[in-house]
Amino acid sequence: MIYRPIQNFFAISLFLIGLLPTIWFAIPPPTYARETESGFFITGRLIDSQGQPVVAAEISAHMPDEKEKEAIAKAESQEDGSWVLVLNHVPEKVSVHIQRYHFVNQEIDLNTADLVRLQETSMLRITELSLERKVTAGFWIATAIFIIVLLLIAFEKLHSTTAALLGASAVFLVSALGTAFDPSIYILNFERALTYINWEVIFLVMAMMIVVAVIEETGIFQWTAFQAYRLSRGRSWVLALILMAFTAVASALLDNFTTMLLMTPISLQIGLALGINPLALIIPEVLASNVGGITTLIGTPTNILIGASAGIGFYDFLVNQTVGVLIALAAMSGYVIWHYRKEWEKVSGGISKTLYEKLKEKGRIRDPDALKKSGVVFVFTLIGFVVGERIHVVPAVPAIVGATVLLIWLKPDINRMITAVDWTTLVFFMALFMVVGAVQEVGLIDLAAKSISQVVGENLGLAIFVLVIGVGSLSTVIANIPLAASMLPVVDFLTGSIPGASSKVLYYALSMGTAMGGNGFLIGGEANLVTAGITTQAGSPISFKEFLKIGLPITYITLFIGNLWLMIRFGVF
Amino acid sequence: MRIILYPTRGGQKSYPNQDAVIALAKKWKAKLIFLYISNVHFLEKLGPVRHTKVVQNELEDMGEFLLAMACERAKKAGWKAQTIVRHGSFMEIVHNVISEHQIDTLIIGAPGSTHAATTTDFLQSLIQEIQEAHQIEVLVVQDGDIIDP
Repeated sequence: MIYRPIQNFFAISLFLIGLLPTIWFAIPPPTYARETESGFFITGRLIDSQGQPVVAAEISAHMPDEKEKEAIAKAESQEDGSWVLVLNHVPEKVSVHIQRYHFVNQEIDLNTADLVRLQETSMLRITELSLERKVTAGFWIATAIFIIVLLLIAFEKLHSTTAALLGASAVFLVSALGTAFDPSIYILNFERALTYINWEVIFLVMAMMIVVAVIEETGIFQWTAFQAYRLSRGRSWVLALILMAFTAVASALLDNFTTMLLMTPISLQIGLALGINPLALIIPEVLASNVGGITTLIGTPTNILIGASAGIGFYDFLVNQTVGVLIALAAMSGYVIWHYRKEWEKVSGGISKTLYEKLKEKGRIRDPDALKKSGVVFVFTLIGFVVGERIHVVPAVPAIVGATVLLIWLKPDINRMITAVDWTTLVFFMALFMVVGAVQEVGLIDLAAKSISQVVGENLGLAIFVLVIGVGSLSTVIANIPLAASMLPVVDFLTGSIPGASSKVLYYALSMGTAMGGNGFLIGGEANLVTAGITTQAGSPISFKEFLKIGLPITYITLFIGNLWLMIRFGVF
Repeated sequence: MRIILYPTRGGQKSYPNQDAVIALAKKWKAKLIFLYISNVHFLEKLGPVRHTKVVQNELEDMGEFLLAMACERAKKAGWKAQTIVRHGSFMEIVHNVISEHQIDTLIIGAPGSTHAATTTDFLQSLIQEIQEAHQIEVLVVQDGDIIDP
């Protein structure tokens, strides 16, 4: 007899599969102007100075002698920068006007030969046009808004979501109201801002939140920590290394924030029971968790962001980053052993029976059935990531399917699961995409890309260095998600302009820089802060200085190893 | 029998204070209650809201363990202690526990070299407020010494 939830699952799946062809045939096929309309077509493509397509530019055809009159044809440039003007007839003179906020307007007068060709073939292709950026008042306002948002997040003056929403609102208000006084104030409108939201990221993060919410309640983290204690037989350094290894792996498969949230309390208890400073176990864990997440697509929010934007999948991250991360973790372990050697010698001896029993009770699997089922689904989700890459299915799809299967199979309280989805984080991502979109729109990102490009020239090794070490250094103080989101368009440009960068090595460099940099300061990552918050609650606060003493050297050790690894892996010398 | 309430976070740096409180309870032959108060305010500007409940549960479990360690210290010193773990505002919970358990003496860890649950200003206002509301004795413990404020 098939288990009832599985029956339900198959029934729903069959229904959905059956529904797909119906939807497919019900939706009319897209229509293309050139196929359905008759007339004379003038086509072209717009790019910016970096060779990126210019989207949403207004293109219009005019009769030069009648400029004040309405355009005889209008069009808008598409995602790839292409545009098509459809004329009913070919006048004696035609000029094409190109207008786009934040770019210098262009006007092209078609010559007689062009018009003859248009008349004879009904088609005229204008060569690719490069539009020149212009610095408007909107540029400075958007830049100021962007910097203020970053500062508000960095100094925790506002919740990161509130700060990002404030930035997005300011952009819209300025664009809507300010334009009435001075058109050059315009930044971007809401419709345009929506196009900057990467929905793949939103859905992947959301689905993984559901999966993690199920797994985190099974007690697997606490069980592992207790087993690590048993295996170590009271040897602190062995215990610390096992805990570091586990947090690195758990961070790669789930996320480092959740991992540290669940590992810190049990590690703290084990440390205190052993009579050592519990921070000698916990700080190495958080350092390992920040680095471990780099190995997979879902290990850090920045990897999700980078993966979705650059089309880098789970398998790609695993293959291209794992060895480098393992070497970095090995070096980190060596440094940690040296740094805490005296602390670990302080083990007081055996734990009392009462405390041992308490630890044992805490370190049990709370829900073995949920663990088994979520484990099976999780493994299939990971397989889905890898297989999906081969058949061009984005990672968000296996993640959503996995989350849905868990909901059907485990039947958790759906209201609790809905609250398990952290909407504030999703809203943060959406608002952040809009704010970054604003500075992209006005040309700030182009400017940054050009500046970096001038520094690195066509030297791929130097570009990797700038992204790993430079961005890594910035990431010690700037929240890594906004940093990665802002740097992505820059990396897009560098990847397109530096010979050899098409291997996507620069995206991996960005991934390493943003994640490893989080170890530099206590404020460098959310996992650090949640760990510090919990240890403070147990009378063992992590001071800024204490974290810095171990975090900063480890940051640069791992960054240099990461840099070296990428150069070896991608043959850049 | 006199009842002493001692709120503690249970870290290593609070051990001397715990020992001093245990010694005093033993000397007075008083009933000793260790209180652990957790709160998740640090999450407000930080992490995903969904984690609040998870962190709260984890902190409460941790509090039970930390107080179990404090009880072991008491046992080693030849005295018994009870524990209470609560979640919420420090001031509010201290008020509640004093009322619920008819506390006679409240001992508070002073800020400074110890990692007490209070700051100096907060400590002064707490002492004043507790004395006015409950008319009970309030003592301060710092670096293993009990002081009458």
